[in-house]
Amino acid sequence: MSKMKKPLIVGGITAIVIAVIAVSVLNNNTVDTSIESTDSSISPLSFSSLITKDTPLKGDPLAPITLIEFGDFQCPNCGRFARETGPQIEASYVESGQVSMAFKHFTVVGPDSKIAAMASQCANEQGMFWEFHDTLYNNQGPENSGWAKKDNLKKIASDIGLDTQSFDSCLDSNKYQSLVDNDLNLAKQIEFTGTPSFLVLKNDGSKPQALTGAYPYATFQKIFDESLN
Amino acid sequence: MKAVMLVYSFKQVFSNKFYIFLAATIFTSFWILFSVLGELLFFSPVLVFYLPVDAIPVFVLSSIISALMGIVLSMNVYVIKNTKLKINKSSFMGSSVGIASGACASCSSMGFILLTSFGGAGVAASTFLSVYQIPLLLGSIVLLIWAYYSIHNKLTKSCMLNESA
Repeated sequence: MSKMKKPLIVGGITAIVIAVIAVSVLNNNTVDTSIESTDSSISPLSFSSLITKDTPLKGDPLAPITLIEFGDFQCPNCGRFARETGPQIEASYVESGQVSMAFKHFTVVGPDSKIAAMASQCANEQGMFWEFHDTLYNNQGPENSGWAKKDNLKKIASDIGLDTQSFDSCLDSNKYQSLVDNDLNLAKQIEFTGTPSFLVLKNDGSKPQALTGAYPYATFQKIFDESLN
Repeated sequence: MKAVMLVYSFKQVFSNKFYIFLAATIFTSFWILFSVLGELLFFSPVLVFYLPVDAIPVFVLSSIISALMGIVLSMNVYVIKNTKLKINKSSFMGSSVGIASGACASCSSMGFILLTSFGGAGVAASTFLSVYQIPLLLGSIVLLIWAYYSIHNKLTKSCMLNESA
């Protein structure tokens, strides 16, 4: 009898372990979708505190909703968002003035992520952040493989028509290191756990909604439509 | 002839509905797990399954792994229940590699957790698993097929089967 019971117990334990793993993973993903920071040490997550003159912004700054992405140029899922979901949001909501999109740096993948982030801010200085952003994501290489090193970033900057002298000087001087570090600290304070993460800010003063994951267009559509209505 | 024999051991196990149910449960659990970790399946704020072009190869391979894990792990349970033989090691290896590489579709996205939890080693491991994800998934499939073949040999060569159990 005990010989019969033992395999069933083993099987049962295996099934429970699988179920626990699956449930914990699902919970992790869903919990993150509705984080609202309650930490009093964090400055208010408002448009004016988050969007500074150096924050790349696309669309009408007075739009009722601002979607802030916390991304890493080496992160494949950020690339997926940039190539698939971002353009759909832009066509449906940004061009009509209902949503604006901003980008902050959450450099988690490796040391080259920080260099790419600083380079993108140098491109932003010349008003070409989004062109640089799109080019990096469309030509994204494997993580930490060296594609996001300074030499290649300078070549990309030259290819898209940036003033190379100014760009190179900006990148070599690490001018935006503190900005990139501040963005990273902000993401940590908000308790984001991965990239891409998003903050949905509404101009009605309500608490922003946080999401972590390369959510598809349908998810953003639901959030925006609910907020706009 | 060999192929027919391979099917025979499959039929032998899955003629019992319990093992069909077990295999289906394992397959579904891992399919959901891989899809969630690969950021293809979202439950909140709206239930969405989304398969972008860049994710198709990993999705196909991890679905094959989920199915093989369902079959191989159920057959292992059958072997434990019906024979005095030990569980097959290659099925655990195949399953482990499959889980690690299948789940690591989102490793880089979890870089911050890995960095804070495991330091540079965590990031190095996640980079390795992400960069070599497809070869690892293929390796996992080979291991699971090998595990199936090993279990088939146990079932067809064992003299200790208890058919009534």
